[in-house]
Amino acid sequence: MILARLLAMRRFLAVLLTWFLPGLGHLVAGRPGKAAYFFVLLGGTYFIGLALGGFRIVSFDRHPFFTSVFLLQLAPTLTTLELTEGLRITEEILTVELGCLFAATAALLNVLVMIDADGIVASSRPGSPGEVS
Amino acid sequence: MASSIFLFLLLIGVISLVCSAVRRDDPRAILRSAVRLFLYLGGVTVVFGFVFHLVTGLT
Repeated sequence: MILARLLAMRRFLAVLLTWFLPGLGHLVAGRPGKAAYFFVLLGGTYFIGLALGGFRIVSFDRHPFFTSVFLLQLAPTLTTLELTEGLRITEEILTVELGCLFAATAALLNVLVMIDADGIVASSRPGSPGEVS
Repeated sequence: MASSIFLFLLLIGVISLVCSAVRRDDPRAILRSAVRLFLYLGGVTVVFGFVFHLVTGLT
């Protein structure tokens, strides 16, 4: 009973941490290699998206739908929202749509990473690094 | 045009790498699966783009 509750808590924690930052859940689950892999891949794609959009795509005023999707990567989105809040569009950015596509894809792929982190913790014993069969 | 194609292929590559790493641990298996997925997705994108170009005349 206690073990089951502990396992459920660890699964929830892994998913929550992955939602906060890609790879953080895997780090808690005892998979540092996979954590770095997902962090670099998803963080890099998200950053490329931001750069293509001139760092102006994370805005509830300009792109409410996309910004809601970006929230699937919570920490990077909230940080970008805070840092780029005051930026104004002074000239046309031709790659805004491409930037939104890149960042939204990175955010949606984080759902897969959450599922993976959950699976790793679910298939492991509480207190030991997980093993995937 | 060329940079857009490169960026789309880059995006397809990232999708392949992430999807392949889910529920797999062996780096070789991940890479093999990613290459296969990249070829599938890239092929579908190129064929779809070519048909779209033929039908609409847009580039």
